[in-house]
Amino acid sequence: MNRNTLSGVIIFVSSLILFVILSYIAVTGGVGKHPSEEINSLGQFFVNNSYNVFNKTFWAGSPEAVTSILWDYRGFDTIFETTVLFISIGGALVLAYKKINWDKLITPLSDKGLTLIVKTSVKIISSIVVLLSLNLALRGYISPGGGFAGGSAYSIAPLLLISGLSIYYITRLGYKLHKMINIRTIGLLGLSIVSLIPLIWFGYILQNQSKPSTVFPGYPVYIGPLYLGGSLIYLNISEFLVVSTEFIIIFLAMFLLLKSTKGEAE
Amino acid sequence: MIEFPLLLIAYFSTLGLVFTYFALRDKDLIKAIIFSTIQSISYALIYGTLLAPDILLVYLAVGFGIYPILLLYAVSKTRRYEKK
Amino acid sequence: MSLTNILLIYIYFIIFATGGLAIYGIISKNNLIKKIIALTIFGDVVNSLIIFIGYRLVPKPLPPILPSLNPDKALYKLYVMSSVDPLPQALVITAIVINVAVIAFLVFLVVRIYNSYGSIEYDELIRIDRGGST
Repeated sequence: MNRNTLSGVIIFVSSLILFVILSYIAVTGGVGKHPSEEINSLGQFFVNNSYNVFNKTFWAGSPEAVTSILWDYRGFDTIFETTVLFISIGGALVLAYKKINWDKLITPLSDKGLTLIVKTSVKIISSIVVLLSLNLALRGYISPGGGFAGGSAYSIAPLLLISGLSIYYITRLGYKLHKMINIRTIGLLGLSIVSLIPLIWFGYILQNQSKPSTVFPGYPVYIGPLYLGGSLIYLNISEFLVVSTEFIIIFLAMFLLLKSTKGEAE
Repeated sequence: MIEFPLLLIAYFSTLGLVFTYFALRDKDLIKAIIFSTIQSISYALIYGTLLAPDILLVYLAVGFGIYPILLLYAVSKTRRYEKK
Repeated sequence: MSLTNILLIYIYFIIFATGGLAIYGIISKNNLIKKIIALTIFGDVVNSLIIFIGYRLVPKPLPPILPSLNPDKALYKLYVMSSVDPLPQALVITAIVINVAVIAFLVFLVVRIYNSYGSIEYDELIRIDRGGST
């Protein structure tokens, strides 16, 4: 007991010292620059060029500077981030998988639960969430949003349906585990196809618009009157599929696991 | 008016500090999760004030929807109260 | 010292205090779920510091999104002169999504530990591991 108090005091004092030193370093400008009138020259380059209609040498074809950095200028970052997501979801599934038999669990539940008003409002809210997230993902190259925001917003809808209605309801709607894994594979395939197509014209991997040193003509920015924003729309849709299905896989695994061990305890 | 966003950020970060303290102090884990959700919302508002609408949208979905439900799941599978 | 500087120092101070509290929670809390909560808070703190560096202290800063698809010279110049830095924001978006995946993995790990050992308190786990009783 005495030793525990002593170690608690030591931990408290050392994190206090760490915090004081870090704040001193930050205030004197050690963690980088402070916010000021000018931004970093690298960030200024992206701001200048992402939709520079007057000089299209380095442009990305999208007025959304953040999305064009994510998928054009620093696309490799995002690709490897998708890999990390893939691996950690796989790890979580491995931890859950030994516990249960997936196929036996999808059985109809008895139809008690919340009242009709709650159920109807949950249905309405979740369809609004689906529409909003599709809007976020499809218009991510013009307005704020994109694959990540759309995907994580979309995965809220089945979560609401599970907690408001039942897991049987959403499996009847088609949110089955193996189907989700297949859709995720389609999304990953879309990412790799769109990023590898420029190699046919000896361009770079993940190249979006034409660059001075390559012959790749670039993905179309306009098809007729329709504004498409180069490769960003395809990559956003693929990433939307990947992120949303991976989160839905996590939630399905979570609730099926919850149900199974409750049954064991009784 | 340069200072106004900074004032807002100062307010929201103070709110975040207070709720971080509550979340770490409370022995009831469900209350701790609720406090940490309020902290998440205040940080989402910081991101919005710093003119990062993309991050605001991602973080509203994550901090308000996904984190609390994952953690509530963990609590419902284990114990609700911290020992000692 | 101007009001802007005082506010900057205050914001750094508060955000680092939150970070220090979160690190204290990660290290010294006994409950594994409490540790995960502190980890999510620490992630928020780091992300907000990264975005804060890219902020622009001009009277009317703009988000890094050009408001028109056919900009004229004046609008483009205004946007270039007053947009905040998009690079930290792009880095933070990926960091948030990775954070979610890692937290989900940790939550499943904690549930698994509870199923195997019957406890999520750190000192009890150490005692069980050394062969003592709960």
